[in-house]
Amino acid sequence: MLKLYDYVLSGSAYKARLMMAILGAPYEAVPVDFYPGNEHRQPDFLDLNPAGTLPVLVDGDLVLTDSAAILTYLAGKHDPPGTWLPAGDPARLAQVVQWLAFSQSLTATAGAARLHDMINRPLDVEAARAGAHRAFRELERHLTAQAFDGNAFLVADQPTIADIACFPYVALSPDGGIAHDDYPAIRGWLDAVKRLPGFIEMPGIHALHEVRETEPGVVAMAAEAG
Amino acid sequence: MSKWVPVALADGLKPGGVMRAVVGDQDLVVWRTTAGAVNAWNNRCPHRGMRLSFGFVRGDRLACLYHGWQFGADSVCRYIPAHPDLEPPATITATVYGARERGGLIWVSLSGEGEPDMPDIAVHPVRSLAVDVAPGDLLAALRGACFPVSETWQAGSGTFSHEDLGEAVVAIDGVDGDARCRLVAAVQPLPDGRAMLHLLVDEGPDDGPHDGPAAALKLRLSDWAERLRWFLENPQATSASWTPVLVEERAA
Repeated sequence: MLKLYDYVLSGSAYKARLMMAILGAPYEAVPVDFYPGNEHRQPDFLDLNPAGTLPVLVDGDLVLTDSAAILTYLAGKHDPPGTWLPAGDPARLAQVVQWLAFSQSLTATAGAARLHDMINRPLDVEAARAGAHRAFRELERHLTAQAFDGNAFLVADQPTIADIACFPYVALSPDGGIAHDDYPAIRGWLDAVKRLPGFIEMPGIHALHEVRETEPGVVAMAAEAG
Repeated sequence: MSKWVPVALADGLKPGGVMRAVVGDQDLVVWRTTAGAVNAWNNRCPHRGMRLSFGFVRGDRLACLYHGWQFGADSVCRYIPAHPDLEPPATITATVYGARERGGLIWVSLSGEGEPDMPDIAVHPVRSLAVDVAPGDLLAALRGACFPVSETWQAGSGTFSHEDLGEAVVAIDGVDGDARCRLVAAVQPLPDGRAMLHLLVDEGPDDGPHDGPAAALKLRLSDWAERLRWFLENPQATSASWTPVLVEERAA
């Protein structure tokens, strides 16, 4: 069974949880006390991942310590149609890899600003926010062009691991003082990711609430309308 | 502030959609019922002060994310999940502001008086983008702007005329050979002194109903807006194959 070394507030760990939820891959979660315990920088954890970062995915002898690598492995192994990692289409695959690389700039900017605001991580938060806005403009321009072609996701006409890699630190950016108000195309894309079957929440990222027919208020409302 | 302010492309707020807007110093939730009606309220749930823009639409109601209180389009609280049998007192209401759809834009007014300053013309949405310059500077640039009228347009060709359709709306008519295209640009002041550009397009004389402009035209105009923003935010820039503002206007 897959084993995920996890921290509930980590956007990077959430990438792995979200991907496994969407693909329906069962796994065992091992909570790591990132804050305030700093457990990921202690010798036991460093034996597993000398980089001292979360998440870590373990499958038998395989140990993966990078979220893009984890997404690549999960999609390669648990998505038989191969749409989440379009390995058979060089152009699409290269674009996916390009957005995986882009996701690192989101972590380094929007993710860093969030760590600053949430746990007082010492860093130049204004520089982090400015960098996040630069990255968001790039993302907004791309998603705008995609929408003109009727595409809701980053690469071609299908959701891929690139969307999962970029989603968390964009969605969480208000926690770091970076609002989504300037970016209508990004807001539409965030909603599109939230509509994916199997989508799960994390603290700071809430699901789109669908109408539940059994709820009294909604039934009453339907009665009024009828 | 009593003026009507464009806060979004009408197309950008889908039925059942919720967004935040700031007009003057007022934080607003702007939302659309599933039937299509647009509402603008104070962005504050009367229960616990949660931003209603985090909420979600159920039919003709907006529900707060926090405790699920539901408000009808008349802003009156209709349902409190923790007290399912209670008919909420009619005094529990959200604060309502003016909201209109006109000229492909959503307009909001804190006073609700009068009407948006724009004719209700039929135009197609392109995109909205925030520009780090003052609204007046953006408006001035639009009044001297040129743009790629067609796929074959080249810098310096074509003629351009500019018309104010309202205090915050500029139409730019471009003619290049047989090709003609009308851009409609609305400017929204943002709370931090910056501006939002809402861009729409009319392809020219309309021979009848059609599906709207092709993706290629929208992309060309989107790229034009990016270039316009770049020039406004980098006024010392000199190296580019063409500028989106006519040279004589820049000199003036």
